[in-house]
Amino acid sequence: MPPKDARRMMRSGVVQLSAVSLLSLSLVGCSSRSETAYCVDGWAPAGSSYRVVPDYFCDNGGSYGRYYWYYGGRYRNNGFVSGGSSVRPRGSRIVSRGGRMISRGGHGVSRGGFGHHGSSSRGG
Amino acid sequence: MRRGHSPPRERWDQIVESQGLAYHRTSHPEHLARPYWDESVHYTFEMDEVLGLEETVEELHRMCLAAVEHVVSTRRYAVFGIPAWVWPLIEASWRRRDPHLYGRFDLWYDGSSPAKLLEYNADTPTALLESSIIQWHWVRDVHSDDDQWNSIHERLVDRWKEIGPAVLSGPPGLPAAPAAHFAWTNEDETGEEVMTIAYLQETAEQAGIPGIAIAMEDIGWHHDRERFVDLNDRDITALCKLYPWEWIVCEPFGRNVQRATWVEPIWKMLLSNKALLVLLWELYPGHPNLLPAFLGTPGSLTSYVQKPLLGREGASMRIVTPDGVHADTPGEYGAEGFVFQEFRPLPDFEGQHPVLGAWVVGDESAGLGVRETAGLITDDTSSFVPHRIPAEPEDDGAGPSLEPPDLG
Repeated sequence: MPPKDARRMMRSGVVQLSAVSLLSLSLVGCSSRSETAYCVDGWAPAGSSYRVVPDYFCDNGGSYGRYYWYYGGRYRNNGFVSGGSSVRPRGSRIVSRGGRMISRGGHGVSRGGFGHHGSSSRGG
Repeated sequence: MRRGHSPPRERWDQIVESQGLAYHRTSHPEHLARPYWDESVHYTFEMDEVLGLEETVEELHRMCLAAVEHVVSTRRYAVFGIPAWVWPLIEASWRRRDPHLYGRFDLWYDGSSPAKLLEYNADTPTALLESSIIQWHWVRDVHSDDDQWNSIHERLVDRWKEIGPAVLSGPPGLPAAPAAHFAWTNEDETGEEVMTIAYLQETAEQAGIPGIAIAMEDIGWHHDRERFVDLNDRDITALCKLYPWEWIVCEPFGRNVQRATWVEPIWKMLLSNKALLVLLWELYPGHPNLLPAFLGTPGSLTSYVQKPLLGREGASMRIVTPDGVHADTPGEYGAEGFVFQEFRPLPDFEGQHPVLGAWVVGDESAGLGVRETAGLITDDTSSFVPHRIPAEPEDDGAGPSLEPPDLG
């Protein structure tokens, strides 16, 4: 086979990234610790704290939105959580207090059928 | 091939973080003195060497595709430890020629002997950002006259243009998608996988394919539509994932995979499995770029590496020579069985052992990334080092040591 032109350029001419750069800088900046999600009873606040209920209460989006997911914050031994938010954080690892997936509800949709394979690396 | 030195760029850590390597600290064990991205060191290759390696890589890739055809035609899936219900899906995917994007060959190479295939990461290869972006900027900043075996970025964008229509059109009988989804797992604690899939999404977007990011754990199954859906209940028709097929097929939603088009496609399972090494040796015995490999027994080998069929990052591996056992890495892999491959000690360059990660995009060689370890097995303590192809012949740098390896 004849040799290829030895003067051929082996590297990409132009490499420009925008979204990747922004995401990289934001990941370096923020903490990589995981966020815990709690299912809370929105109808029983005590001041700025919410009563934590079992995960399955949130499976269907709660009855009339009474039960919903609450992210982060501090869980106290009296069964209440405060200092977090009902807005789901992006880019964080979220684990429910019961250790399982967060179902967003919605009629006729199951979630969490992929994942939870343990901490071994996905890459090779 | 030689190992050279040059001073790191000032604020190199901030530079690489701004280019995508958010995870260079988090993904590297803290106790190591040497950083993961180590630009104090680099390799130099001559153009002739690179062109020769390119041909080797493309030949190996063709051999791998022939091996897939062989397995599908003879139905020898059992050798791979793949569950029987998956076999028809692999066959259908291969017969359709479901498009593939990329893969990375790991090669033994010392600058003079023919390169040897150590393994093929054909499903979820990592070190992509380092190979495509980070080292590209390094050579332009530090050795601007020199070339580099690295057109990975351009080739990825071009490949997405080629395969985009087929990927977005989805499985037969279902409507096409306006966008492809890009999935990582929430269990990524270092950010490496988030960044790698974000990069793949950006290459697709540069090719005109809109992308939507999603975690594997957030993917839903819509019972009425019988489709995968995202967090806004939009159909997931085309899914590019950084998540191994071996795990997907063992998970509850695995039974529905034929309702989407996947990158990498499911037929790649036959290449991301170490039984491939055994099959290649069987189909091409004595090939100069292969190491002898056998399934379930070392056979006639007296120096061998025992690798689990489905292991990752050097876990659960053992190196044995006539002098005894020289390495026994921890890990829980091995339930599916072991492959025994001839042990060829990695070449020693100034006390470090390089492995060449040769990238294939589509069916063509696209570039090279080099990783080094102090030990004999490339694992998560390895460092990535850049390389260059000098514009003018040079005499600098260290070649491989000719001393026999200290197996410890």
